[in-house]
Amino acid sequence: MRTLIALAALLGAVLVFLGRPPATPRVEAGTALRMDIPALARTAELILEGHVLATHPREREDGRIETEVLLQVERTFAGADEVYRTLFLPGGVLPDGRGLILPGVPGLRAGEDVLLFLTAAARSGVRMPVGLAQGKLGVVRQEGGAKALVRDDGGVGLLDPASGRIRHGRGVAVLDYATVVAEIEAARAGRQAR
Amino acid sequence: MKILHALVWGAAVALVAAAVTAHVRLRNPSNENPLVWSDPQAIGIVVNSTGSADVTDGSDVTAVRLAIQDWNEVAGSDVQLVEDDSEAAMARTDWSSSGVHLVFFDEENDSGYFSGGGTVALTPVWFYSSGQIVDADILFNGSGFQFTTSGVPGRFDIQDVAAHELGHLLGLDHSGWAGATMYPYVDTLVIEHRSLSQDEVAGLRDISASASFATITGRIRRAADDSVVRGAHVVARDEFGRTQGSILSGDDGRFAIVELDPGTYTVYAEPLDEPVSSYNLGGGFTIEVDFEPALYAAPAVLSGGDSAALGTLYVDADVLLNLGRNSDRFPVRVVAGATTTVTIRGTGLFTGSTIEASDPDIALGEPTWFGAQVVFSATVPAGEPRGHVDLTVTNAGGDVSILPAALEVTPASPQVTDVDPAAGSSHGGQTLTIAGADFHAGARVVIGDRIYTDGAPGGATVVDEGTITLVTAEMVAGLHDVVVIDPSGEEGRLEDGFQAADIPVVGTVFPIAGAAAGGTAVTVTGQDFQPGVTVRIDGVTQAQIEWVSAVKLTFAAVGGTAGGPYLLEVENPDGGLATSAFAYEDQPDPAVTAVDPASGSSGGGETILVSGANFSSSPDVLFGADPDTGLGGTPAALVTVLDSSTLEVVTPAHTAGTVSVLVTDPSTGQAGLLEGGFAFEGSSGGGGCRTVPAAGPPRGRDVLGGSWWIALLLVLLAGRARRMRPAPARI
Repeated sequence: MRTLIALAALLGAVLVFLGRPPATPRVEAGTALRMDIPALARTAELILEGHVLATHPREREDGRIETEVLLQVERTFAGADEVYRTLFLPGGVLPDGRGLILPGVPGLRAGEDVLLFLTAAARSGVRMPVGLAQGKLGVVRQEGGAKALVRDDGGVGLLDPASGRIRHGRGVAVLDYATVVAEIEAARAGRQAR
Repeated sequence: MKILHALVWGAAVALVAAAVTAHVRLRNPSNENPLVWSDPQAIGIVVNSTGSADVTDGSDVTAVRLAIQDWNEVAGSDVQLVEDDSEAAMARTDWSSSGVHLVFFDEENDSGYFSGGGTVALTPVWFYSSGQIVDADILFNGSGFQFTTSGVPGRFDIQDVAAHELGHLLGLDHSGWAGATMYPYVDTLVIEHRSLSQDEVAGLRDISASASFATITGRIRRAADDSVVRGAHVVARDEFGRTQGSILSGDDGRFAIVELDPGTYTVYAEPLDEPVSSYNLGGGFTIEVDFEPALYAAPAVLSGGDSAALGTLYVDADVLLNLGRNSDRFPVRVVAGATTTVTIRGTGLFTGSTIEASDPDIALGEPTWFGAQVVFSATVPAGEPRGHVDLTVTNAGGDVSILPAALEVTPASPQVTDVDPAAGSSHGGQTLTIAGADFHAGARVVIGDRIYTDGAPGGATVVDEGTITLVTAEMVAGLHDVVVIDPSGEEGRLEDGFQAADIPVVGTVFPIAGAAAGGTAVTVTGQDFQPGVTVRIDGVTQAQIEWVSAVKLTFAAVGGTAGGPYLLEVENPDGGLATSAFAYEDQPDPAVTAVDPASGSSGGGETILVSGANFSSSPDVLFGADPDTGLGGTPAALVTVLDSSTLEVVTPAHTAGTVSVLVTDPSTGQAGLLEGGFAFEGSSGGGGCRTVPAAGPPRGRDVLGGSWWIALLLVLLAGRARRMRPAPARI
């Protein structure tokens, strides 16, 4: 039954996003504190691994532009566990061409697999990636099929577009998935203990 | 007309977009148009006057202004930030309004962007589809972090962060240079982002150049299959091994490094992976990193505004070697004349590898390889110019990784050891001599909310490496650090090195001499007199001191030994001290008690009698002198001394009105004044009392303003001068 509800929700959400212009709200920049995985995990209010289903930029009443992101959640490390999440990230480009960019804030694109470290939602509902670009890691598959995490644009050059596996990028920092998960769990446990 | 304007604008943007591939500009993610202001030569900016809650002496605003100054002084670009420093503008907090481009410390997370999460500052940039920037504001995360202008541990340097964010506001994205101001990460120990790298210089020239510069073009392809490399980070370094320019190759693999000065350049391509990656860039870029760094075999030789076409650079497949992680602290500062131990993380950093700096003057010590990091020493000869140097690692198999602008060469930090004098008036005008070491041309001195730039009008003068002089401008009262900032951004600081106080300033003392027996009514005018002020003459506190206002006080001289001039001190309760002079005479002060008749024609020429006491044998008589200062007034047409208590005076022509009558003894400076003593009447009158200041000191006796009159007094009383103590400003 839960599966059916989930599928229905997914279908509905996809339908909602169909017909809207594809958005590439790859907003970026700003100044961020350098943070390692434990620091990201300790700081984040919501830590999710998931698949980006769709994105939709919109303008708020106060004129600010934000992007609505529909995420199919694969794993929740911190925060309420939900199958689907709608996130609001600042910035984006509206269909009429007007845009807001926050240099340093990483964008999300439909089709991406990501691990996100997010702040608590502001009054407006907007969340920020912790440490700006550091709060987003791309989830990729290595040759043997094992998951890995990268701090790079996983959709371009780094991955085989057919298999989604790492094709190149040996110079890129590829983080071991299990190690990162262990660091997250340890950091969260330490935070709760305090 | 609007449509025409829009079309022209759109065409201009299209031209820019076609020509620009240099370094990293912010782009519209949807169409890759570079973001640019419609009038980059006059970009308005306002610094919110509230500033940071962590800085209370006004130096927060000063730090932002220093950053603005740095961007405005980029050679070869006419991009200018124009600050509106009006009180009304600086009071604005509505940063999201398109009508103001605000630098704002968001102490309560009103923006909603800082709900806890490692973001130190942000610059939201609004734009149109064309790429025209319509608004941009800088928000400091005051709710999540603390800021400093004085190196307080654990706080972020405001100038450092502001310099970076201003780059975004101007239209620049993050840089692939580890040592650039636009490097994405910061921590509390870093201030090197204050100084702009050549990457930022080229970026600003790219936005709007004020001269012609040279260009290097080429194309990056993979050797394996001849495919083009998109988003390759292509870097140029000069013949001295210093990093000078960079770009990202386009979707066709072509690049054009623009805005270069004449010179000989080595050009290479490297993947933009760590420590800066595509995640750090805004939209509109395609970044491929699956290749090994490679250098063009031949250098590019540029003269004037020429272009050099280097052709195709073939790169090999990716290698398991990488130098630099975003967890490293960049820039890595290496100091001229010193040896610095450097640790850099990476991949494949194993024994058998070698590491070298692109500037051969910099000697690297034997490295220690740990696989995931390398540790080595870097020795920079004394006198090396500031700038950035690449590091290249080559492993045992010959694979290469290059970290552009990894090292930032700076001179030693300035040291400030003494400031003389250590205190002065907040009204400025104080000549200061700053002593220390490692002062260099182009340095800036910050005292309170004021910036003094070497060589600039009203600025500072770097006399030599150990001396800077300046004349203070009006500033906020209080204790201020004296900060000397090198062009590299490094600074030296003397904490509480200068106290600017509302130090009283004596403008006039009237009269300038009184009876040795005492009782002379004296009025002192000036500035910043405080209630409770005391007055001393020759160290003796005077009587009946009355604070009338911040610009006026009166007292009754207690008298003393005839002679002088003696030191007259005016001291505020907070210790602020001003000095002047006063003399005592053996004879009593003249006094004016009556004038008969008390009125006459404004045309003058009428004879009247002035009664009083103690008139000298050759007094001066003035009509309309200022009662507080004795200044101004019109001399009598004729004065005849009938006796020591009666003068026969012929009135001068004077504007109608009731005026004072002043009798002075020009040989001593003693004076007696009757306020409202005489009324000039006439058809041209009706304007009431009006004094006419004299163009100069009439007959050399009654003007006390400025220092010259002290000299005059000294002349008058030559031979009688006694203990004239030095008059240091004291707080």
